[in-house]
Amino acid sequence: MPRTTPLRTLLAQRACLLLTAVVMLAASLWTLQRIDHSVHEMRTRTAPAVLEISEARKALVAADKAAVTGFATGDRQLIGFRPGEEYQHQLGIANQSLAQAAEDNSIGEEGGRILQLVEGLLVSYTGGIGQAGAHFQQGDTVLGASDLWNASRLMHDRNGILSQLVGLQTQEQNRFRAETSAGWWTPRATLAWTGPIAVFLLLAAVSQVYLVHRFRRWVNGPLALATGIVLVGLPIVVSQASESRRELAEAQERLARIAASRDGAVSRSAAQGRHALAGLLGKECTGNPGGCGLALDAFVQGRRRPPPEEPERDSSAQTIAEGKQVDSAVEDARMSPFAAPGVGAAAVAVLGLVGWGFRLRINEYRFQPR
Amino acid sequence: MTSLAFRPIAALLAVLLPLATLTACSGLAADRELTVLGPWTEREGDAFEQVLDDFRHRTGIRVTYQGTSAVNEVLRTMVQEGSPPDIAVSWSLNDLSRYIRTGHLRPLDAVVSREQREAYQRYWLLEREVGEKRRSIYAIPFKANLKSMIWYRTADLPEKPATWAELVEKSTEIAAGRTPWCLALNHTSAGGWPGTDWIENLLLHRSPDAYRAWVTGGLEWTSPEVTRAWTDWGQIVTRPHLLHGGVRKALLADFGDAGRSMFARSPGCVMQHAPSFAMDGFLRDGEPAAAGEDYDYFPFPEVEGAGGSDGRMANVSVDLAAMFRDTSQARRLIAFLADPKAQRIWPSRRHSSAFSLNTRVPVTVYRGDAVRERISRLLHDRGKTLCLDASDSFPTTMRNAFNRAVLEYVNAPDRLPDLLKELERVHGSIDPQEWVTAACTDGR
Repeated sequence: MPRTTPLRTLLAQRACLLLTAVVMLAASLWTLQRIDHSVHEMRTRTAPAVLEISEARKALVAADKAAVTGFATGDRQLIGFRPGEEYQHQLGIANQSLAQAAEDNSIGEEGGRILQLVEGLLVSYTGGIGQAGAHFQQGDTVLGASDLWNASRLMHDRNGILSQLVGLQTQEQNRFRAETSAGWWTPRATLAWTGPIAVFLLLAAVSQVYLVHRFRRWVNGPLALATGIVLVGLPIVVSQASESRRELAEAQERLARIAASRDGAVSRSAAQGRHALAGLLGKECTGNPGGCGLALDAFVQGRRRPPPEEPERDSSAQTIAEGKQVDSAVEDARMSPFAAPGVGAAAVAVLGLVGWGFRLRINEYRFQPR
Repeated sequence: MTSLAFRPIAALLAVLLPLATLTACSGLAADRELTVLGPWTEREGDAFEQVLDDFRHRTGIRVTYQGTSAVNEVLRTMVQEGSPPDIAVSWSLNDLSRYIRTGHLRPLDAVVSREQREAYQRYWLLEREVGEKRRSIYAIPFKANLKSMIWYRTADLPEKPATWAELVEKSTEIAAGRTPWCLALNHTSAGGWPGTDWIENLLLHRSPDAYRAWVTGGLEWTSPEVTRAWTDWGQIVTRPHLLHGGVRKALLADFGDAGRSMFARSPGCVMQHAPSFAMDGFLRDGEPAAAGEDYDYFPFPEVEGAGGSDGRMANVSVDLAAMFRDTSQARRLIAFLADPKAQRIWPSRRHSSAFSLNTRVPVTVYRGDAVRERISRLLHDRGKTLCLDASDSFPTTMRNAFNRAVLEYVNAPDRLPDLLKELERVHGSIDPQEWVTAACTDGR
């Protein structure tokens, strides 16, 4: 069959439209998959990691405070000078939370390294608390105070345990924040997704004009229907993706509020523990000619005033509730389960309509007499 | 509209399709970051970051440094969990020797050139034979600290004692009007170590052979030599009026605070036995005190007794860089750290208390600071025998027990016999393989 120019044009138009439709389908599915993966990551790893790290911090300052208070107020007749059950209990919570955070860590090797560093420091910290207990039991209060002072610095100093965990928690939260502004809104992702759609619409318009002009038809119905499916489907998908992003941003804000609230509790508990330690150290150092060294003297001086009292309360129920709130908020960001199948079905329809739309015109040329 | 109109459209597709593919497949695997674990934090950590910045600038390799005072404990945890850093810097020669035996450390023969190696005394390169393999080197010394030194305020000590007996006598003399000594034993993860330096120097400068035997696990803690080192120290530390702030301050003050007391508005003391890095804490009104003018040092005095060191020996601690993961990036960093160019960065910083064992780092990096140049010359002098700090050489349990015993002794000196028995019990419980086989750079 000789190929006339109009036939070649029709074949080329159909081929381009079909190819563009396939690319459009692939790009759309990829974008939807990325959004879904992002939500899944936030829900199963990043958000839980943030909560677990903040829970670990809360438990660690509570353990530290319990240890110091236990030594400062221990009843020698009954329990002697030792950190006590609350210390062990909070330490257990902290270890559990850290173990879970290690599993959920979503920032890769860096997160793993920080948690290992924390683990190593905790070994030294708990060893120091144990030493303090032994010294206080023996009546060696100066050595016991020295052990507590060292352990406290391992916990609270600039490169200490809590500081490392704050850094890690911040990185996880930053990742969450980045996800709410990333994904398909980046210029590259937007081009990858909308580019094929724009090309399809342009090709469809050009094809319509060609068909009208060449064959003196008003509108190619199937091609128009295919174009209509794309024009209708596009805002639906955009709207769903936007909604997902908005829900994710709300979840991120909720997580940030919970984390900030816990930060406040950590600060208050830490202040109380440090005040108790300052009191204990002050007993050993106040009045000592020459003091006890600039660093320790400054620490004691800076914590003479007691911090506000915080009522003791069982926070385990609140912890569970907060976890559920965040989980539910992130879950709301998931796209409809029908989104991907819908896009697939629409793409199949578009492919079929494009094929059908050109079929009659192509067949006219195929069976034309010479 | 002809097929010609579709050519630009087809061309556009030809661009879009690969772009879409590239975008979909984007997220190219990023180059892996190099991780370094080390003991330096705060100001020292900043100084080491400056060294790493030079490396980053030269190579484009990303490096993350984690600094912690509990470096050996953290490293142990990382190794146990199967994820050590690429490179670790540790002052514990014993810990690093253990990692060589267990196969965790990688040999550096192919990483450090012969020319670079010749700039160091072999002792510091941790040359070892593992199994049936040939001898290989496993570490590079990056920073050294001289420990056989007594710092003093130049205005308050016109004559330097040459022997231990003279030092004790001078201390008593000074105590009539001032406090002779600043002593601060505290440390977040190794409290007591400043006291161990006293005992090590007393033993080394009385009997180097006894010191060698002790470091390599061949001398009992209850031996006369070791006992004498403790009681010698007791001539100072059990007399509270010789210590600024007394025993209480000695036990509670952080070791860095001792130097600050020496140069406070109302100086707390005249002398301090501390390593060379103690200069970091010599501040007068917030500014570094002037070496040679405000302060200077004299060598730890000879202790009368069998042998003596005749001024030929000195105690040092050394920070050693070792490679746990053999990657091209880690090799490049080790080679960089071994090079004089990297070794001089930290010592070149103003008022630096960092010293290199690389003999190709000239003393001119100290810009005419006579005190620092003297220290640097001593560390490079191949006629001197440098002996590694004993507790840095000890197995971990021995080291920890030694640190704690120092604190217990200062707190209650009459417990010394029991403390020495306990130390000997720990000594006896350690596998002989855990001890280092040489204490000093002469290989003995």
